[in-house]
Amino acid sequence: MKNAFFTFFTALAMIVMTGLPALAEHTAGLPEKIQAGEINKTGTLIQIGVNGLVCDFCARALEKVFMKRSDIAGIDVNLDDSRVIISLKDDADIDDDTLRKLVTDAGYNVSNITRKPGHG
Amino acid sequence: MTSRLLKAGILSLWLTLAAITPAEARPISYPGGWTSMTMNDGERNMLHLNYTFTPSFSLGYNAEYWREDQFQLHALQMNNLLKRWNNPGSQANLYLQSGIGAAYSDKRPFDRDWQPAGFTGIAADWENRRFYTSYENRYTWAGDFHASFMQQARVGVAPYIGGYGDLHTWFILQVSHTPEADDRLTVTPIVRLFKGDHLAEAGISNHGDVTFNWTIRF
Repeated sequence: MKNAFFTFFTALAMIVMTGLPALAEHTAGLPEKIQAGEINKTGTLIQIGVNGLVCDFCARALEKVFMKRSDIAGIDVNLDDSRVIISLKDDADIDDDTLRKLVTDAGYNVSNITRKPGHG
Repeated sequence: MTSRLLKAGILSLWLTLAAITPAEARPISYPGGWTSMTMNDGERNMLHLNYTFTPSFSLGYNAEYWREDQFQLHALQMNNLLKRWNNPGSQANLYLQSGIGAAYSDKRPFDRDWQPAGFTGIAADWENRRFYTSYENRYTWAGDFHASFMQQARVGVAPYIGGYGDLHTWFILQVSHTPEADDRLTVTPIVRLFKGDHLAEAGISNHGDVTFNWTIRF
């Protein structure tokens, strides 16, 4: 049994040393491309600061809650900056109260909301 | 027996107050979301499928097979998020998980008997992007087949900080305490990997039992 125990720990050490950290690279700031959907350059971009955004597995809820809506072109979740960027379709708008409710439904709280109007 | 339960209860309360923390594989996702979990260790095999109705409530089916007492437990499970603390760099949760249903056994002296069964317990967790800790307990009652109290604490560390969409890795040390069992304390080092909607955990306990957990959200 000791052998199995040591084999397990050895396997763990190998996982770390074989370069999994290289998978951790992530872009910061405004994204060139986003994780779900697409950036609509002529639509409004909304940046939402989110409290509690620490777990990738749980943050999937944000993507799923927002992407259910027909007025959203895409979403980018950034754990490093604790923020979400929403790209809206042309002429679409979502008020702050609705944004707060969507974030709360996904299990988080909003810290701030900023908007960048599109050029459409 | 009463003394053991009392000690276990005191230890449980102490761990709760000391850590304000429960176990991962959170039982509630987002309204309209489904979660499927399978958890397997030296004591039992468990499958839980739930649907999240509100940000603080999910309901689902729970099936378990307890190997030593050789019985099945089938229950309707309710998961309640009692409190969530969302902070700029961390999150903590407190859950109540309860189930009610029936247990089946054909182990002698029982002859294909069905008996009422249920369980209840709390679970708490705290994590930031580097560290994770959790605590959960549960009292399980399965008629004449089985009755037990279990509590479990975990601490974990991420060897690297992954971004959204990356493969995430956690090294976790899990300690389980079951007062009625022959091996009351079980220590299990676990590796957790998750990416996208899939989360898997694998480990081997100090008793040589394999732990394998898998959660999918959809």
